[in-house]
Amino acid sequence: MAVSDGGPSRDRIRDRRERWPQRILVTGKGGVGKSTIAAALALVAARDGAQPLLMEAGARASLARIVGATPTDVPAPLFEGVYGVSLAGDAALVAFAADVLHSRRLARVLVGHRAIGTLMAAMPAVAEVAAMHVLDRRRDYAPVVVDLEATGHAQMWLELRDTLSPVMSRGGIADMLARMHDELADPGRTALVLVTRAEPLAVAETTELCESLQQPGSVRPRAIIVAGTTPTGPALADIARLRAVADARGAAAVRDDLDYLAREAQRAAHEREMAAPLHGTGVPVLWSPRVASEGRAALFAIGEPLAAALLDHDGVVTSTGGDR
Amino acid sequence: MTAMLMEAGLVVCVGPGGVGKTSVAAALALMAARAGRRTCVLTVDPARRLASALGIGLANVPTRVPLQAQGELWAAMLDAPASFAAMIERIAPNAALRDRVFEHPMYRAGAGGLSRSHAYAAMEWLHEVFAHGGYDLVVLDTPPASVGVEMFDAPARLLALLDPKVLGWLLGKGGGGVAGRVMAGGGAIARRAAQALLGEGPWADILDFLGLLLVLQPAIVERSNAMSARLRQADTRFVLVCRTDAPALDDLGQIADALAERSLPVGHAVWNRVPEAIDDPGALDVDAALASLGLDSADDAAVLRAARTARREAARIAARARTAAAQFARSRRIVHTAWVPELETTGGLDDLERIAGLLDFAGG
Repeated sequence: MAVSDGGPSRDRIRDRRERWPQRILVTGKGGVGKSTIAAALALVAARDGAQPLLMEAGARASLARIVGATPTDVPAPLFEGVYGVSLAGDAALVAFAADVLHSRRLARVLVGHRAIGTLMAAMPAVAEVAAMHVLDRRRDYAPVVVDLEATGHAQMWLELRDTLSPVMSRGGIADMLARMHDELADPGRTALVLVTRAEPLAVAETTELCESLQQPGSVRPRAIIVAGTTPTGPALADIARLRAVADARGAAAVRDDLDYLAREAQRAAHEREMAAPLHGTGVPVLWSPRVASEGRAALFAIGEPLAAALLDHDGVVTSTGGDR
Repeated sequence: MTAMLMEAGLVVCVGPGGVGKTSVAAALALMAARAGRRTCVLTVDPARRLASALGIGLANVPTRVPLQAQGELWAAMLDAPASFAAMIERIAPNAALRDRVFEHPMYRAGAGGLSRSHAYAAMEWLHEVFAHGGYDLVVLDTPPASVGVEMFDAPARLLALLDPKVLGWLLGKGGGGVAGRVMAGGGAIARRAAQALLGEGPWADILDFLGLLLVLQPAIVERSNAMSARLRQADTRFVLVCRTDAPALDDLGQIADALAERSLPVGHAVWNRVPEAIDDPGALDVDAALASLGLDSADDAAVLRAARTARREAARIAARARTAAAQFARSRRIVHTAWVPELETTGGLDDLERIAGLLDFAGG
């Protein structure tokens, strides 16, 4: 598998740097490998010469394990040319308040005050507004890869402008929300990527999300990524033929190997079946097999084919593998 | 396992998303129902297929699940706006105030699709089911990861805001005493900062809404206190539900920490979708293997190599998963663990039957 030096040529890399969208929103149920895919895309973007910022919407420990570092509340180098920032806890709120009030000290007073701070902590939309503000302000990075929390939460983000319209129809925040809403809905600027698994419930949830995103003015997903799938191996017919030979010759260990491989091939076929409803969404489906390697090599192995599918061919996404 | 379900009044399933938490919660509820307990499972965010398998519509009122065999199982899924509306109906002292709340822009914005409102609504809903359901056992499925833990903070967060001193200061009423003086220090600056941050219109709306909350305060405080107490009652059990792969276990560690910080004790874990254990056959001598089959093609060699590699990789993944999960349970002093293997699921009621059959905690 192509790792750092076995990847695309220098020319292609330079060409591709320009193709990264301003923002990539990565969402899907937790535990489907969302953080890994976000980190992998950011790593490939950095290798392409872009200046990616990995934005963690939740406080999840998985990123620390994947990249060996934890993002802080101000953008800072995270790993391998990728910058990181966390929106967890008060971080986004302080950043938001500091920007609007032009004073970090004042922002801290606000958040730290017993009554005002309590009110901010209790109000439903504050965290989302603050996160959206941070996303709005980070235009010096591209792509900004946002690792969003669970699907429902992502939807709240995307609908924030409309949700808050009863209370915020005018003023700076309303302007920001309107601007961000338009930018997030603009496929030229923002790529929404839905990560899922080849399992009935995860697939059902993803198709439901695609349906609910079909309203006019809503965000159209750039791609669905089916993560952690069983790698495609030799053809079942070849496996069966060799297995028959092994059985006849009494080569038990080899027969057991082939039995295992046959089960994997069946599992891979079953995964395709379970993921079939995804093709009905009209959103391109990318197949991302699990990789045996670990660390940086694994991130490249995962990120490189996805980046190629997302960015190459003039931004037109084609299915890789899923339809074959 | 069954022992736990027989003695508990509330079972809370917590874990990262995508680990089959809703299915496990429903399977636990099914087991309890089979064991003769009148059980209700509350799901916060079920996939539509599971919801239809359980026979629940979009209402947050529990409906009875049609079971083949005996047992009384009820199920409901959270409808946040409906839960808020029902609460206001119940606690508003008069129709005029009720209508002012319903028509308030803050209520209209907040009761809908925001994660923090979901957390409040879920706790309120749980309160209602306890107050009027008459169930022996309630099994609560929670939203994934940090949003799920946030749910347990919802009552305390509301209580902090509804503290008469805090609310009084915000509304410019009272402000005496030590707390009042502390808040007055820097208070004017913080207030102006908040106003500048949110805008004058929204800030005025917020204060106006807080004025309405002040009237409802005693009822909300009573309910919030009741829910905080319910989570800490002796017959409440927290069950961690998780897969055994590294990313899921990382997330679970964070959740377990958050529960520990809140003094919510965890005694049970369900390891879901555990990969099957495979013995590592060791490295393959491809030439010898080919010879033993009387073959010599490079293509056949490639298949044999792929087969051994796949099997060894699976053995390694399975061993690592089991070790990591066992280690997690040991380090967190979780005594009761259940292992549910990877199943080919359909997303229907039959999945729940199978999971229920497999849920047998070691150590009772």
